[in-house]
Amino acid sequence: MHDKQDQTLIEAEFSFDDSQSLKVLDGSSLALSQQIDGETIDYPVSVFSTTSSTAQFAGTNDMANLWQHVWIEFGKMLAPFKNVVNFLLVLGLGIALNFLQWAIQLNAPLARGWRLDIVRRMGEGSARIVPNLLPLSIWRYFRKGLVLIVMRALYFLPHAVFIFLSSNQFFLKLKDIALWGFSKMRGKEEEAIVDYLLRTLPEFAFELMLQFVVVLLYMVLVWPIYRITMIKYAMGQIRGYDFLNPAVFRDSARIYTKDPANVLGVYFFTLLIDFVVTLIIFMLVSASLGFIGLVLPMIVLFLQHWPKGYAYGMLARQLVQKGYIANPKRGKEEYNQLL
Amino acid sequence: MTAHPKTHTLRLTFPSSVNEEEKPAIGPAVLIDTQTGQRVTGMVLDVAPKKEKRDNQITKIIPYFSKQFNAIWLPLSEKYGRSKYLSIAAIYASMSITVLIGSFFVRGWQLGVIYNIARRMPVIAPSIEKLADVGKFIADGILLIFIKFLYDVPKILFLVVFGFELIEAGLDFLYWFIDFTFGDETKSYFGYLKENSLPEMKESFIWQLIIYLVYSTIVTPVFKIMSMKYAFSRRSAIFFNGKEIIDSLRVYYSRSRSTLAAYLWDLLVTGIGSLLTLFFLFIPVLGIFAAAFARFAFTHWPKSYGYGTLARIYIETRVLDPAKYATQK
Repeated sequence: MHDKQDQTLIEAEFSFDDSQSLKVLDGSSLALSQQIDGETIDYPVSVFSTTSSTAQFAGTNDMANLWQHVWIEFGKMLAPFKNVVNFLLVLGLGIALNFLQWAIQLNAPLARGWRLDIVRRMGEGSARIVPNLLPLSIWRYFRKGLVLIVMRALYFLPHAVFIFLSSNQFFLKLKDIALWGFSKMRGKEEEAIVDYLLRTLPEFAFELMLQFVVVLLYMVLVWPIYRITMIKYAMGQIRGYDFLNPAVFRDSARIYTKDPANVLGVYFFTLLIDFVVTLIIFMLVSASLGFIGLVLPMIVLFLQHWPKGYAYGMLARQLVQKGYIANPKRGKEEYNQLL
Repeated sequence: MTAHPKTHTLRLTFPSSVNEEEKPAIGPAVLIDTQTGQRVTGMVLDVAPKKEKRDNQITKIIPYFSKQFNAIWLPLSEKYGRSKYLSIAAIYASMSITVLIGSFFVRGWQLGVIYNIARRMPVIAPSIEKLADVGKFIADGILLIFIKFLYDVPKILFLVVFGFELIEAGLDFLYWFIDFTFGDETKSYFGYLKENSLPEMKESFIWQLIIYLVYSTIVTPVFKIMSMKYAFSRRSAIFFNGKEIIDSLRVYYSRSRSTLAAYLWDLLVTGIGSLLTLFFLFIPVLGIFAAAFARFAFTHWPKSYGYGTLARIYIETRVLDPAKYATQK
């Protein structure tokens, strides 16, 4: 096919200077326009090769890149704390959580529900993104957080069960081998070790591979879908039990396949936060000989829940802006102006 | 910065609908991107019927490798390149805590590099300006790894089938060894090897090796060519298009020397990267990051550069036409 085309092709050399930049050299939509005898003729063309100066790894304007973006986003993320009231609201909850950790394990649902409220506020385009601490709201955070924890457990239950059963197989095999060894020593066993291993070894390898594949599937499929459903739940568009609704699951999967870039970008960011915060806490705890444990919930609230809530909020904004999640309360134009 | 603007020369081709007689004349002309309306004024320098070109340049392996080796340091030689290179490596290293995400990301990024080199973009490194760009590379990487796995399923099946035989031969040997130590077996070590183990092993091992080598040397480069096509078209269905797979085999066959050189380079840098990783993992905690930086510098970047230059060779010797895929959007 190429050879046939090649014979009828004509080649032209076209030169222009550096001050004119031509970014798109895709060839799909280029035309060469020329005045011949006062008549303008357009030739459709494609670029065969260029002799422009050798490419650079990075351009000068590339410096307005990720780090600057990250810096700006960090600034935005920290901006609410410049207001003393907001800071006190978060600090107040942090102090409350410090006490709660001794009373009863209420921390996790409360902090998670609080985080959901940040997501809701950002998704709706509210001017204030720091959740308030009215008694009724606190009850709501707690309730929503509890639902979320239960649903999360249900989502990851198959994974946990699988890993448990699969690891169980490992231990059973090990036990079998040990038992076989004992009976062999007592001269009661007939089956040779070779035959026994031959029967079991392939299963070992199979189990390992299966575990790996399941972890992979959970990471790239279930996690993003769960997060999108979580955003819908935070925005009050679905009820708690809808986490298990196949239609909702399918819709979240559809959103994920339409816009994987934003979802996975936030995924990376939250993983990074989890890692960094774990590292910081590990260092703080070891440096303070464990005393920092007294105020740990407050530190976690500031360092982990706030940035993660903010990140999911950014994702919620993106999804609302692109129309994947129904726009709450406002018209699209108005919403976009808000941001 | 530069006092005299550099002149760029493009070599343009016209589709077969333009007759020889109605070809453009030498003189001033305007190049228009009909989609964006961007215009560039310049000169048509020469118009000629295309010469039949054959790829008669013999890819000499040593100069090729030394050229590729030099490219390892390419980003470090630039002022802006250095910081960008280090920031991408830092992102990759920060992902090395969850190894899978990192390998997804870096594969997507490699595809971007291959595209930019192949299309002669002024900047090689694909732009990362926001989190969504990172996510885009991860998504690309998930797709590529998944499809590579599908391409490799026959190979894995073969290896598993023959692998069992190999294990069997090994266990037979173990069985003999136990008997031998307890004095039940009279055959000597070499006698056993010669009469039982070697014939058993030889067959399955040689088959395994042959299948592995043949399958990898054919399918991996074809997969790379397919991913170049994917980079041009951005349609994942292209990976399962039978016609395109056969076309990729044709591309591979017609530029087999360049392709195999790039594939060898891929194997070499992957080996170097694995060795460095092993070495760095002896350092606790920080070793993970150091290993990630090393893998990025010595495997991922040179590998993508190698395949990028390969894609460029394909395009310039006209065995692969990006415009054909771009128009399919």
